[in-house]
Amino acid sequence: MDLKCKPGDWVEVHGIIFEVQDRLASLPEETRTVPFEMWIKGFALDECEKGQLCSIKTVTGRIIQGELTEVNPGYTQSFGPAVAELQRIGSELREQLWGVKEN
Amino acid sequence: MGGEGKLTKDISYGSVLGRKNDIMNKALGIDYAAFEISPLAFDYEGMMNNTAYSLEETAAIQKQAGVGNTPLFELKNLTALVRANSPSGKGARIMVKDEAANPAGSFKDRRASISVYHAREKGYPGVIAATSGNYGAAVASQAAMRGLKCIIVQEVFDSKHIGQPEIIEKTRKCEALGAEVIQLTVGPELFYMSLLLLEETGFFNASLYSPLGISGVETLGYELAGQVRERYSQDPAAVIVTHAGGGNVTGTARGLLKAGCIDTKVIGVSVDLMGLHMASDYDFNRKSFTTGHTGFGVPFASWPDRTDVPRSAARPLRYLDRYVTVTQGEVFYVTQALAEVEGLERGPAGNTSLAAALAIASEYDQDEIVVVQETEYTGAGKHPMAQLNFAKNMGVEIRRGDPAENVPGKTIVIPERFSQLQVTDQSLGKLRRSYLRNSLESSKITHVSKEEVDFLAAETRTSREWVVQILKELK
Repeated sequence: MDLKCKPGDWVEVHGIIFEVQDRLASLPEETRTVPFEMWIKGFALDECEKGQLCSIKTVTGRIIQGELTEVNPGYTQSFGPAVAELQRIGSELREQLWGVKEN
Repeated sequence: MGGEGKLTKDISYGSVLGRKNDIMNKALGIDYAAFEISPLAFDYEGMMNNTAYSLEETAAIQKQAGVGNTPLFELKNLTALVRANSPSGKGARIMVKDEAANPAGSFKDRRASISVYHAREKGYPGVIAATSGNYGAAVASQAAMRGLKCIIVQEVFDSKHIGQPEIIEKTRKCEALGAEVIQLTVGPELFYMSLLLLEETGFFNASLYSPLGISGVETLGYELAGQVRERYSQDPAAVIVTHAGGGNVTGTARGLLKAGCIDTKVIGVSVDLMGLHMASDYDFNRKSFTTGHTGFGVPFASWPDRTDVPRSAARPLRYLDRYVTVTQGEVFYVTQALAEVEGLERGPAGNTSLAAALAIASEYDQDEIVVVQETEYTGAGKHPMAQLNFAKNMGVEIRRGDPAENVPGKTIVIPERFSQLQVTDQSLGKLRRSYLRNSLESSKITHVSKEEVDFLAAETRTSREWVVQILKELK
């Protein structure tokens, strides 16, 4: 992963909207005792290193400043390994429907 | 962090919330005050008829945008399984309205299409929606079609920066459709962010709860009535609707009524997440459903006006004939079943109502029809495999067994047999009572007028006598 961005790179920045002392008193304790944070992506306007304040222009044209967290941020969601608890449902139902025992 | 320049206004929490009404008026352009009757009552039908588009106009706007007219599938194999597990002669035909066929993959396109069209007509430069659900993708897609800018505000991460795979997928989808996505950690301050952005950008508030959003769903109820009548020459006995904020129930039911389906029962369904706190940084990643669950379903039924608009157009108690819950494990089971014996691989959250339908259909006769009115798209992250693997990693126990052993946040039980699918009835009486209490507290009135009693009876779908009796008990 690149540690630096140059102007024009697609990046993600992070900021804290509310520190712990500014969070709503009505929140459950585990939420009230952590900051309220935000991440936004856009095109870098500055040359920055990870962790430094970086200005970006978002796709709607807003200019935002935050701490640089990623260069070329991607997506990590996947399917993961087969889930054993789901694996036999199809065979069981086909057996009930059509009487063919598969395994 | 904030926008550079133009921050001349005070952006503290209290200050922004204090400007809420002004921000909302500019961002929606609906004069809600015109429909207020008293601090308690308002003219609901007047609001719906005078601020939204007619059913015909709505259908035309949606057609232009490729939304609606989705297929209705008869689920013959699942119906056969229901019948095999029902008393003789029981087991209604089950249909599903394949809403995943909409451009962004869910019925939410119907809501978004009308709001985005309206925003463009009124000259707004862009639209904003606060949602971690399919609605974000729907708004992003419609905005892309109509050339408007789009910002989606999402609750994505816990304080360890761990995100729900289903919501991460929705971030990806919104960004793929050209939207700017604001990813936030857990907390109701999301509403503050959304107000701040509306004020900064002057964009339209594509609220899920405006009359535009709700009237967009009316075509869904209207269409399915037409499809069932054309093919089977009868009305559906019941339409099963996933219930969260109330818009799906309200819009669908209004559409059914406009089609003249006066005897069709409207049954709301939520995934049971009782015991989990919706603003908890800990509970956030220990639930496998991010919408369509009791964390929204119960509070939004008992008090609809908790939304981002002064008066929510989604008022489920006006329309619900019955409200039931199902477990997370049952929904994952039927999602697998729908894929493997009906050939329809769809997202789990959209199958909440299907899970209920497979239990409820056995209460109806074989010559009756039960309609599941939605499906949603699926993909990496938004899939039983992804969501169950994530739950396992978060320490939730996954096993097969009796779904009655389900414990939200701790155990997901995948049924061992089809016959274990069941629904748990939730008391509408209790919700109605709770609505009356909230209504009194919110309006701060001590004497309820005749006109207000009529309003409360319509809101709760009860009688004047029932309202008067409960009001006495609440005093």
